[in-house]
Amino acid sequence: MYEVLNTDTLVRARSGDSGVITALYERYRLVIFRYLFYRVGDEQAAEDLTSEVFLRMLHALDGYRPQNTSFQAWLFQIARNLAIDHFRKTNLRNHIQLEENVVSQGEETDAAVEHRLDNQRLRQALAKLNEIQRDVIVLRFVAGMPITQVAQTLHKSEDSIKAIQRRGLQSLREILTEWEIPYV
Amino acid sequence: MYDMDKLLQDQLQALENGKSFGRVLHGLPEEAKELAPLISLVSAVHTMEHPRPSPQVAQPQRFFKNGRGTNHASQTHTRSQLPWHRLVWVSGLAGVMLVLLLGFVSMVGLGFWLTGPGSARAATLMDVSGQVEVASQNSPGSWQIASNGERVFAGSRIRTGSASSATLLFYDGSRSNLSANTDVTLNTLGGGWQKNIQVGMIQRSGVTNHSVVPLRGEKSTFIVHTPLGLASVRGTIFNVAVDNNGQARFVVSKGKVLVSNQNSQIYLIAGQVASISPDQGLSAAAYQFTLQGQINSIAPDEWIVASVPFSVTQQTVISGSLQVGDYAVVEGHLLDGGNRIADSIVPATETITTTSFTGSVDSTGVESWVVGGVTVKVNNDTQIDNDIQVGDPVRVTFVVQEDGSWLALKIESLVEEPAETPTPTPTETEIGATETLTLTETVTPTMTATPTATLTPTGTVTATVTSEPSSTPVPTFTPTPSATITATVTVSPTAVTNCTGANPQPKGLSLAQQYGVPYDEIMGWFCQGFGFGEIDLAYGLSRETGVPVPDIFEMRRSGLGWGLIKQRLHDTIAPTPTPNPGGPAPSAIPQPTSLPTITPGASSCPGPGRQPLADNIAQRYGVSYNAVVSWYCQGFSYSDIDHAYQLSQQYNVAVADIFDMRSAGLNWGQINQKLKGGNPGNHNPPHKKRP
Repeated sequence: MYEVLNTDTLVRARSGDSGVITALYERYRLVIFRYLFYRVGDEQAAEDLTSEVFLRMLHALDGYRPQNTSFQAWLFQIARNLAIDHFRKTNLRNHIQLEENVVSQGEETDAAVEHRLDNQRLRQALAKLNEIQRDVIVLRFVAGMPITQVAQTLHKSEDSIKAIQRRGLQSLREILTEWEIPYV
Repeated sequence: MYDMDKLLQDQLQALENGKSFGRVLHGLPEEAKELAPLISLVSAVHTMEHPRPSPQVAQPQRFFKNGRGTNHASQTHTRSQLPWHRLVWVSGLAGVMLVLLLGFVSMVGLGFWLTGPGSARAATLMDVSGQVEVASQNSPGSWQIASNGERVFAGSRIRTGSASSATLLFYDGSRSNLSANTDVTLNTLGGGWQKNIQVGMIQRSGVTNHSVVPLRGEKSTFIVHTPLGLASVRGTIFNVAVDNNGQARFVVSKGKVLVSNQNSQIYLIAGQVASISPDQGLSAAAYQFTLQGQINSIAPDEWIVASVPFSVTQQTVISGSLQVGDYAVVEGHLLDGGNRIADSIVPATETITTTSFTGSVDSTGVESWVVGGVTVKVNNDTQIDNDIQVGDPVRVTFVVQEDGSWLALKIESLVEEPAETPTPTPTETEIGATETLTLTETVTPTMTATPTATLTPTGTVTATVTSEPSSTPVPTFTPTPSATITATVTVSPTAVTNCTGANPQPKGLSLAQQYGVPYDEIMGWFCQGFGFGEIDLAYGLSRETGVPVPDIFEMRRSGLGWGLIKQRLHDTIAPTPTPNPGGPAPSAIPQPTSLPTITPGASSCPGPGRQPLADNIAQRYGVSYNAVVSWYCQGFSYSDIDHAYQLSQQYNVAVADIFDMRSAGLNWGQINQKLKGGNPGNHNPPHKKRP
C-alpha cells in the first residue's frame, strides 16, 4: 500500500534529516529504478536517472504540496519528466538502439526459439506501446501503484486510466502473442 | 452491457487484494471472458523478476552524504566518461571473464535446474506500508528498510512496526499478508518448474493472513510454524495470530487447515478456529464469533459488547485499558450449546457495530434458522446464499433487536465449491513440521532425503522424531543450509474419524444416510482431507459407474481433477459410439480429428482442481474443458492452445492439424503463413524488419 507522507516526515525531510531522506530513498529507489528501466530501456541510464530523481526531489521538496498530490505520485512525476528529458536529449541514439533490440528479438522468434516472458522481452514489448499506455502499465503493474495515484501522476481522470490500462494490456498481449512469448 | 474498463479494474483490484488468480478468473461474467488473458498477463508481470539497480545505486550514502543539496552530478556520469583505452582493456578482461563464467555456468547448470526456478526461491514483498524491515540470513542483526518489489529469500526475517503491513507474494501466486507488529522468518522457500512450491515460515508474533493457491503436486507444502504448533495447508485462506506469550490462534476462512502441535492434530474447516496455548495445548476445533461495537458492561467473567454477552477467561487476551462506552473488537470461539468465550479483545479503530458468528446449520425456516444451536430470525431483507443445506457451515451476520433476539442480515455459505476443493491431505510435511511426525502411531511415514537449496530448521529434528515432550515447548528454529527431509504419511480411511470438533458431524451423517454407508467411513475420508463435496462426488460416481470409492479417491490423490476423473470413469463404461452415416455434423468451430490421448505417465497433469485457464479457453472457443486439458497434458502451453483455437476458428482448420504443424517445429508465424496459403519460410513480420 502506498502511504501518505505525514507532516512530521515532510518537515524533517525538508530540514535535511539524512535518516528520513535515506528512508525515503530506500523505500522508493527500487520502484523508481524499475519504472525508469522500462521507460528508457537502458539499465545504465535508468540507474543514473534514479539518482537524479532523488536529487531533484531534495531540491524540490520545499515546493511539494501534499494536499495537492500524494508523495509517490509527485516522485513519479519527477521520474517521468526526467525520462521525457532523457528521450529528448538522446532521441536518435536511443531510437536506433531500441529498434535493434526488437530486431534481435524478432530474429530469435523466426528461428522458433521459445522463451518465457522476462524483463528484457517485457521492455521490448512495452517499447512498442504508445507512451501513455507504457506509463500506465509500468506504474500499475511494475511499480504497483493504485489507479488513483496513477491518475495523479499522469494528470488524468481515473476513468481515462482504466480505459488506457485495458487498451494497453490488449496491445501488449497482441505483441507478446505475435512474438510467441508465452506468459501463462 | 458491461463497462469492460471498470470490470477489468475491479478484477485486478481483487487480485491485488489477495483474491486468488483462479477465483478472479472464475468470477468473470460470461460476457467478459475476453478479459481473462489480460488478467493472466498482469499476473505474469506481477510475478516475474524485474531488474534491480546495481549495488552502487542501492547505497543512499552515495547521494546523501551531507543530507540535502549534495551535488554529485559528476559522479552519476563517471562511467560514461572513462578514457577509450581503459574501455578496451576492460572489454578484453570482460571477455575472458565471460568465457570462464560460461564454463562455470555449464557446470552448475544442471544443479541449478534441479533446484527449481529462481523465482520459486524468492518471495516478493508487495504493498509495503509503514515501517517494514528485512534482515537476511547472513546478517540477522542488520535490519534494512523493505521496499515494494523487493525479493526475499529463505532465511530472511521480516518484521512490521505499528500501523505497518506488507504482503509476501510467492512463486505460485499464494500470498501472505503481514499485519502490524508481526515478525516472521522464511525458513523454507523453494519450488519446481511445475509451479509446485515449498513454503515454510516461522511466525514469532503478530497476525498473518494467508491466501494459498491450491498447491500443485505432492511435493508442494505451505506451513506456518508458531512457537507452539503449526498450520499446514494445500490451498485455502486462513489467519494466524501469535501473542507475546507464544499463544497462537488459527482461523480458517476457506478450505481446510491441518493444525498440530507435539501431541495432537485437528483439521479446521471454513469458519472454524483453534488455539494453542502453553498450558492448555491444542484446543478443539470450534466455530467462531466476531463482535465490533460499544462495550455495554464489564464484569470479571462476563462482558457485553454490541449487546452480545460473552465469557472472559484467563486465556482471553485484552489489549489496552478498555472501559464501558469504548468501542472494541472481540474475537472468540463458541462452545457446544452456543456459549461464547472471548479469545481477544482489542480497542476498535472505527466506531461501527458489526456482529457475526459461524456454525453449521441445524435447521432452516421461514421465520428463523438455528445455526450452531443459536436461533436467529430471518426476514425478507435477510440475504441468504443459495443452496445452503442443513449441516453446511455458514457465517451469520446479525443485529441484536430491542427484544434481545438476533435478526440475521446475511447468511453466507462456507461450503467449498467442489471444483476448487484444495484437499489439504495430510500426506506430506517437512521435517520442520516436527509435530506432525507424532502421527507415527497411526500412519506409516517413509522418509526420503532430497537435497535442495531450501533452508530447514534442522536443530529440532532429533528432538521431534523421538516425540519426547520438551520442557521448553518453544521450538528454536535456526535456519541453516541443509537437505530437506520429507515424510510421506498415509492415513487409513478410518484412522481418524472425528476431526471436526462436532460429533456427529451433520453433513457426514447426511452423506452416510444418503449412500447407506457407515458414518465412520464418510468421516474417515473427510479426515484424510477430502471435502464433503468431494466425498459426495466420489460416492455418486461410484454408484453411477460401479468403480469402488477408494479407487476414485486414489485417482483424485494422483492429482487428477474431478473433470478428468469423471471423463475416465465414464469412458470405461461408455458404449462404443456408432458412426454417423451422414458424416460429421457441420460445426462453426472445427473440432479435433481425434481427441488427444493422455499418456498414463501424465496422470498428475494438470494437477488437482479445475484449471481456470483451461476453463476460460474452453468457454471462449466453445470446446470441451477436457479437450483443452488434453492438449495441455500433451505439452502445449495455454498460450499455444489459445493461439491454436484462434487460428482454427479463423481459417476453419481442425485444431489437431494446427498442433501437428506446431509439433513439426513450425513457429506461429509460419503456421499462420501456411494457413494463409503462403510460404512459411519467407515469413517476416513488418515489426521485425531492420529500419
